[in-house]
Amino acid sequence: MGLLCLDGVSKTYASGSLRVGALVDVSMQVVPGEFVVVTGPSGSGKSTLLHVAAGLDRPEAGSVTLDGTDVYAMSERRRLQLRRKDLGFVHQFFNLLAPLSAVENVALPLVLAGVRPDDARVEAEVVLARLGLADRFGHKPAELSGGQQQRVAIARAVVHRPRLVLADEPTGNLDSKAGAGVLALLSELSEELGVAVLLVTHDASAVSFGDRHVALTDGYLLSGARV
Amino acid sequence: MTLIEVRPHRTEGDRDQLGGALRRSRWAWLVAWQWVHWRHLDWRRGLAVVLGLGVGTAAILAVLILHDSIVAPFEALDGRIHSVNPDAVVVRSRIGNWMPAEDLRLLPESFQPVPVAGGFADVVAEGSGSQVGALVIGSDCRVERLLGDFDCEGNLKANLEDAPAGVGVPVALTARLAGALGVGEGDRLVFPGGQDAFVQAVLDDSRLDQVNSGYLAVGEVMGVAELFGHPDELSAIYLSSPGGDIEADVAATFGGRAEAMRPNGRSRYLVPALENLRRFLVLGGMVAAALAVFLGASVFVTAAVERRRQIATVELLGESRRRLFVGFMAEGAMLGVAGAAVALPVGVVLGRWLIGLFTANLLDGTGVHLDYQVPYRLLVGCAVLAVGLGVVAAVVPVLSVFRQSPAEMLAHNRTREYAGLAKGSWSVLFALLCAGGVGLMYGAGSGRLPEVVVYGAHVLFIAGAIGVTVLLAPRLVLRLPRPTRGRRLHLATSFVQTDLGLAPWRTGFTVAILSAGVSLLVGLNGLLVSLQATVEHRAVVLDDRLLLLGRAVGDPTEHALDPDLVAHIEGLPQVEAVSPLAETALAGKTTVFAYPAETHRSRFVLTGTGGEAAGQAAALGAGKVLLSRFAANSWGVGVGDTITLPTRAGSRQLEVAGVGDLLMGSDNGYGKVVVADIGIARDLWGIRDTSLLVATKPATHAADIAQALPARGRVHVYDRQTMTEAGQLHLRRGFSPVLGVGWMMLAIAAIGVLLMLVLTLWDRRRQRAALRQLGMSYPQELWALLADAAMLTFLAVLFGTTGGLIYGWGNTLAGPVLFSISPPFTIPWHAIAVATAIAAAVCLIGALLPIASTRRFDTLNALNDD
Repeated sequence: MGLLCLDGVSKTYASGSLRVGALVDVSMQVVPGEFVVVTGPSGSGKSTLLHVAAGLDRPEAGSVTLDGTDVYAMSERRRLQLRRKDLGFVHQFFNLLAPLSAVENVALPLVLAGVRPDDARVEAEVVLARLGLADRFGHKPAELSGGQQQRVAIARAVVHRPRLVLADEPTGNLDSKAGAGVLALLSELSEELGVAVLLVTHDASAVSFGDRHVALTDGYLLSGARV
Repeated sequence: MTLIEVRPHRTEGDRDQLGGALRRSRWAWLVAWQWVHWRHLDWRRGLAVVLGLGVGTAAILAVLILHDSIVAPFEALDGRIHSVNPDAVVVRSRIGNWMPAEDLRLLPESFQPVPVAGGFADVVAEGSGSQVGALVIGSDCRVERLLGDFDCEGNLKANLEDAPAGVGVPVALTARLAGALGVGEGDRLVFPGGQDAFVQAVLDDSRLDQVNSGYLAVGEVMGVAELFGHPDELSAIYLSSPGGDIEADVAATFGGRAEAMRPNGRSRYLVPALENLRRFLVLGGMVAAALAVFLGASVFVTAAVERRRQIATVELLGESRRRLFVGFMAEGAMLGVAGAAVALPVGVVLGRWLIGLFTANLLDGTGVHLDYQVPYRLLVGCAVLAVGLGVVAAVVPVLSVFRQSPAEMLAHNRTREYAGLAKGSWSVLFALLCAGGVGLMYGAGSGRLPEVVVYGAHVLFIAGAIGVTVLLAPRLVLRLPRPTRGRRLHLATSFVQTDLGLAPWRTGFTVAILSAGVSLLVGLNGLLVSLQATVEHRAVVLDDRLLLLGRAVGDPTEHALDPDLVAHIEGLPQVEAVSPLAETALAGKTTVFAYPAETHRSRFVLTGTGGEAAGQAAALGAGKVLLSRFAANSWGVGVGDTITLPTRAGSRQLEVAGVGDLLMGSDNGYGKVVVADIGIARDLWGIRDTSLLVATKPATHAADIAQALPARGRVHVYDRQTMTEAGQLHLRRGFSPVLGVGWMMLAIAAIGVLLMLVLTLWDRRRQRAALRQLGMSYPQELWALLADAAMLTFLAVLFGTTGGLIYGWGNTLAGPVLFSISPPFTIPWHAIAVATAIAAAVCLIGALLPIASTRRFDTLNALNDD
């Protein structure tokens, strides 16, 4: 049984009188602890796939289930709790909160979920140290390199021990060396924590870091080969 | 992102049009530039700029209308009178507004002297009780050759000869005044001095409409002097100059007690009032202009920074910065035109409201009548101003962006540390400006510095306070420690710091603008409350058996008590004793208070002059006076020194017997105050009794005395309570226009703050989207917005109240310049409460307004928006 199941998912966007199929009858599964890499050119529907999987963008057809529960049959409140507990996000532009330090950024999801701030901070420090940022706890995002910022974003995505991390072009804003480091880190965390990762990217080199590779073109799922 | 993309979400059509226009013509390029900017996102910012410019310019227009309707007519009087006869010169007494009629004989016939009596006064129709302010002029028809052709012979002399007989002094009214009073020929009138008068003629002369809006009464010179309670006295002598140094001739003739000047038609009391008003309006106009530029510029800052990549992209396409600059100027001008469309109707309505406040309150009882007018040139000027402000607001932020190279712009990282954190030295500098402003207020108020520095002090203080607030407010919040235990408080602090960190400068300005409004409200109310305390102070000397009789509190016309009336009061069976009180104005903004020093009644003034003056009051006698500290400092004298003042017998040296701080205001006190024994004051300055302190027999009430007075005349009877109420009411009414301007500024500030908050929220969309993805719930988002509102309110109230209290205190220090007294500062608790409530409401509305759209918020777009 897959952790995340997409079954016959379709999604179109309207641009004036033109309708573009972002996802066309897409079916796929992500099992617990699996690292799935979705590749495709710009406009192929990668980000849409991620947003649909996260319960942020309702598809016009098909279903999305997480652990057997239909995500879009849930109430908005339940979906919110799902994002708080079971999902983690990593973005191309990091989306860190500038005035907060690295450790405060990482602790934020825990505090939002009801953990006491000092306990959340301890937990965040442990995760940051694991990611090699023990000497950067008090640094603001502006004081960190791109690769370090993305590592903080990854720490924020996994600090609450989610079951699935959704990563949207996490290397898109990094040089190749830093990008490779981030991908390796995600791969390690996937194995170490048993967390599933669904990563979308146009970077073909990312494929080698995943357990399975899926290609998207013009909204169509082309392959689901295990790497 | 590729270089050819102007913005990620622009369409191919946008790019084609812009690119094509770049190659074709300048005008097509400008149109394309605007089209691309406005097509999608920027309409909100455009609307905010339009509103900002519109509101700011409207405030300027309102202030200019006020100036044009109140100050300008009196400025113009000079020109109107002078234009009729360029050689006309007026001789005025330097002691009060009146001079002995026999002075006329001192002038040689070659000067062709024409006697004039009169001034501004309230005229009451005896039957109906209707009351209208008017300029009452008494002269003969020779004045026509000086004042202009209003057919004196035909209208006045002939009418007076043929008119029906009446009781009292005959006067002719303009048709406009007669209509406003609802009187016709033969009807009886009441004038300030309480003399009987009747309408002998109604003049139909449009020429006179230009003076005091046509509200004029004219009569025979000595008759009008009687109407003001000054028989055998003149208020001016007009001369047709025979050439030569007429000023020197007049000075030689009168020995310094009268002076020759260009005619201006303004009384001694009106001149300083108008000067203050003009400066106040200039200050108000400057603040309004600063607000307009700020509101526009702060919106453009957002636009310019966000357009950084866009500018860089177009530059890389080969466009010059000069043409980019012109594009921004064109955009500013277009928004300015739209701002003008908002500003003109709003400004006219605001101006009408302000004039209503002034005419209903400040000028009530002065006899000055104002017409509401909005000159065409003002409307055109303000439209041009709005466009100019729009261009300035657009260009200033772009200049800062242009300091970067295109490469730097493209690599621009939003997450930068707030520069204000490193601006400690600037904070100190701005704090010093504030301190300097208060220091100048004290210097001017103590008489050690020239009066005019008071106005500079206001500018200095306001600039310093805004600077301190802009730099320190965000700094204070960003340095706030986040609680490690309380989750809600921790989150609230985090959200506030996160939101503020996105646009700290704008937050600083938002707090500054709101705190400036709070400061004005608190400061001006503090001054009012402090002055009102002096009214209580003054009234407290009246006890159950002491009453004050005289003109109404706040009546600035210098009319004396009718001696017959005084004799009547003295003869009343309920009256035990009376003591005269008097005041008059001297040249050089000096006020003389005169009281009998030797009786128990002298405590009326001694309560007001504290310190050493009280101890030396008994020494008041021939040739001795008490001075306010302001007067002593201004003249650089102390106890035992001598001062030279103009008297009716020429200049006279007087010994300073005491110097004190005046804690008690008078109706008309202004600037330097001299206290003298009333007997000496009568001798030296011909001073007339303006009030009576009446000691009554036991169980006598103010109403008993009022009923025993003759029906004619306009004498008011005050006991402690009614005097306190009347004095406080007078102050409140006099202050209401000033407070009105304060309210107007607060309203503008509120609009500005709302705009800023809405715009800030728009800028925060990506951050909010990230927080939502992290699991931030709707209630938590609401909590975050409320925390922002609470923090902004706290900062605005903290800085605003602190600034307002210092501002109000500084104004009380400068009190002697404007009010002749330096009252102890009283904290206006009610104003602080009101200002806090308003600031909270503004911030709350600003925070809650966008909540309606929160549910429709497009998280995905926001996350991907670069």
